[in-house]
Amino acid sequence: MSLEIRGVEKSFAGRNGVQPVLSGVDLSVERGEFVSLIGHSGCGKSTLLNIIAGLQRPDAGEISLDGVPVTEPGPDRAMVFQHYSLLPWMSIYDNVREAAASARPDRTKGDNDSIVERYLRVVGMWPHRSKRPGQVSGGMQQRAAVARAFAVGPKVLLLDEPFGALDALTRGRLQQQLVELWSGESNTETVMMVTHGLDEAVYLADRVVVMAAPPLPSVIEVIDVDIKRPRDKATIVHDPEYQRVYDRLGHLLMHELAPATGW
Amino acid sequence: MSRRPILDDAPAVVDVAQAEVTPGPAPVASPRGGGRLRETAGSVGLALAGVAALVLLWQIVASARPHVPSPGATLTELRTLLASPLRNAGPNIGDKGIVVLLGSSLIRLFTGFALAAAVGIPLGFAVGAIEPVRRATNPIIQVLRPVSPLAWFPIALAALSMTPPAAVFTIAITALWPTMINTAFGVGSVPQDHRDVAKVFRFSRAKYIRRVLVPYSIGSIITGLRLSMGVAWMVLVAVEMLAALPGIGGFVWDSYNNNNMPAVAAAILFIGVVGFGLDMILSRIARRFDYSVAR
Repeated sequence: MSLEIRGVEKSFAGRNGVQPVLSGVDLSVERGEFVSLIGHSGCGKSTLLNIIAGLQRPDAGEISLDGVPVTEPGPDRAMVFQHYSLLPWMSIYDNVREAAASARPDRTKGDNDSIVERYLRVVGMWPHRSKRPGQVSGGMQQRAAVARAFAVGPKVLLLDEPFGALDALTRGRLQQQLVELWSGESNTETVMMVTHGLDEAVYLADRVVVMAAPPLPSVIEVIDVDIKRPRDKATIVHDPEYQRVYDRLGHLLMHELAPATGW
Repeated sequence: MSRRPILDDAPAVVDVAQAEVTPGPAPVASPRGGGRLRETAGSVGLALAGVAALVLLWQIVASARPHVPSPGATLTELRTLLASPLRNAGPNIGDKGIVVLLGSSLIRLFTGFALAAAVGIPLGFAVGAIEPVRRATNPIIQVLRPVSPLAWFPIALAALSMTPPAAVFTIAITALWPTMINTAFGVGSVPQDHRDVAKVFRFSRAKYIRRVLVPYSIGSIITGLRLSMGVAWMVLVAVEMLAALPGIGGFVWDSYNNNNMPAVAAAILFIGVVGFGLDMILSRIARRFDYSVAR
């Protein structure tokens, strides 16, 4: 499913008047692409993701999937949230099953249950399915949230800094599972992921979209990552292409787009 | 795209999964042998010391002032009251045992409390979830809430022309505000995260209410009920005194009229113990709905 973003604008009313967040975003994402959005806080990358999800409406411009405009959430898209966002009063299993069942009313209960089981097994959460989110670690919660998103069977998967709060080893394992799910097990074709991590952006994406806050244009540069898959997290850092993209991102984010106030 | 199982049942994953389990709080190892026992004994000892100090102070005041019941006289009265707690020899307060009186009070309390919950919880949902309702009712709530519920008693008495239902109505008014306000607060403060999940996964309105709104608000609702219960128990004693109703409050007034101050002191003890018990029950229930997750 191809994703078209055309002339998207968004402002928020704040204490200091109207604050522009997104200005004139144009982006085409091809079927089967993995795109990372990266940029400093306030560049509107999460807002853009929310607009694609249908959680927020743009002030101007349009999002379309295979030519059909997006105005509200739909089963063709699913989201993994930054704070896992599992409902704490339900078991892991109920969290995944209820979400998948309501997003996909076209399925029979049996179909839905077997799809839920499959994804919970894939992410290794099947043995923990009767636990509540508060009873498992953050990494396990996010695995359940990943299973929940895939269980909807979305064509487009949206991830908002999904692994930011996890330790490096857990993050690495989850990144690997995500890529494997996307390229193998699931029907999900297109992935869009907001991240703060340069290494994560390069390791996972086919293209990295570098964003900036107004008054700069929202999309500063789109960098292709020409590294063939499957990629190996351990050795990819020695790939010259990885180093080229990483250095370019570092230069853009640490120098050209570094916040004026300094760190 | 190829379909192959990934990491399915692979032992390595299971290991990681096990390692990531956060166990419940481990039993605290006692720093020294019998440390916990010693701590409990210490708490009990301090509590007894506090009671002893209070009784001493009480005795001093009682010996200095006439009519103040002494601890000894109160203890004697307690024994008398507990000798025939279930006596029910007639319609007058003096004909009834202390447990019968407490029972009447509790029935009155629960009736008013149930009325308040039946009205306050749905109203709280409406106020918390529907912005125009909140704005329409907010001024009314703000003005009526600080009014002592006892002020409603004459109107209720005149309208219902009998004291028992008027007392129940007064209790219902008492319990209404905390129940409604806390319900509205819970319902109105569902985090954006939860609402986004419901939107992205297209929860129906019914499912949103059942799976998000109600479970999220239940903690606040129970807090409201607990506050209501506490205030209602206090106001009930006052209403029963005002209306000379057969109940623990009526017993206090009756004892005063019979110049039996030790009985008043004994009643205070009963009122306190029952109130403490009610609060404990509700706090137990509240704990069951604590998901120990930041809200």
